[in-house]
Amino acid sequence: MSDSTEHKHHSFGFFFGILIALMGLTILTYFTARPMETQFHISTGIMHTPIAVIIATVKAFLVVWFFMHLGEHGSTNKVFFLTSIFFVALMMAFIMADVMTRWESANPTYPVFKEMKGPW
Amino acid sequence: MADGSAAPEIPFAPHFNNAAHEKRASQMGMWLFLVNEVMLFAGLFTAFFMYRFMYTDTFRYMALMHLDAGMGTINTVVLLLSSFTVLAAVLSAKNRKSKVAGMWLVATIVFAGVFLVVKYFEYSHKIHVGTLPGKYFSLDLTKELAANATNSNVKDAEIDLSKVGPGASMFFTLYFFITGLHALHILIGMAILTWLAVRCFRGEFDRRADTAVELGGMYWHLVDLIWIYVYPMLYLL
Repeated sequence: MSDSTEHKHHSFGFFFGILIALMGLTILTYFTARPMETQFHISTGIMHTPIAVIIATVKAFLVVWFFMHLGEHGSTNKVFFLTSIFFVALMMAFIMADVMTRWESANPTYPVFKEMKGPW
Repeated sequence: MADGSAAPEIPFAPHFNNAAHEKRASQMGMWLFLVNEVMLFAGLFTAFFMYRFMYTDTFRYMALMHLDAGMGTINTVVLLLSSFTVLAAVLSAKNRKSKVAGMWLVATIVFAGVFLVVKYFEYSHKIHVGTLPGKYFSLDLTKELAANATNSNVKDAEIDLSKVGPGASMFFTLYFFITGLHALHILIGMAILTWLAVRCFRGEFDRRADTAVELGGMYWHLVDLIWIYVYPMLYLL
């Protein structure tokens, strides 16, 4: 019990390194997701979405584990956080499993609001 | 020792064994609250993914042509910097340098202000061109699609313009709701950080546990964490 809080100590420079990594990942996600707007043309094709999600998750891990010190906190806190991630994944997986297996015609193509003008 | 367990001068409530015990309990409570925040935003994210799947071309077109990815990137960088300054404040408070921590908190509040100013420019542009939620959506999409028929960005992104239209107002409903709720968190965070900065400048954390600064910092990191997902989801995909 007594060793569960702050038994490791990172230096200021270490956290600055994490910040640089986060900045680098932000730039990387911009150039991989928007190749058409940049002169670099890193074309990712079908991997477009997975790459963005993976980069965001790596960034989120760096923030949670080091900036929020979850790595130094007790295992109860880690279980709390992982449980929330698990339930988020569960919610998204089942809702998307429903939506993605519907017939195309089940999705409305007409305006939901009667007041709306235009062909949509 | 920064742990606090061996430092008898740190006061703690009588129902705890020691200051470290009190701090652990506070941290656990904060994590429970943050987990609730994660679930709150996760519901909105799920709604976004659901509608993005239903109206893929509309959502991709709106993100490409009507959201400013440059401004989104600037705001991401600003929030990451603010996350770092609040971390520096937490480390300073832990080392019993209360006034230094106050300075770092002021820097964090300034970054938060920059974020909101950028957000203001984004919102005012959207209100100006009529890309608003629900029935307030007044953009002349037919005219715009005709003008963008040969746009190279749309072509490179392989968006089917014939399918753009349904769900356009839903994109902006979700955009304003998600970013609006996030901006509300920024405002609440700024209020909390201001309160902490005042306490820091009074020198309070020279002589007592830095738990308040640490938990305020955790809240601010969570606001950053949510933006880390909002940014690619809305602006990039």
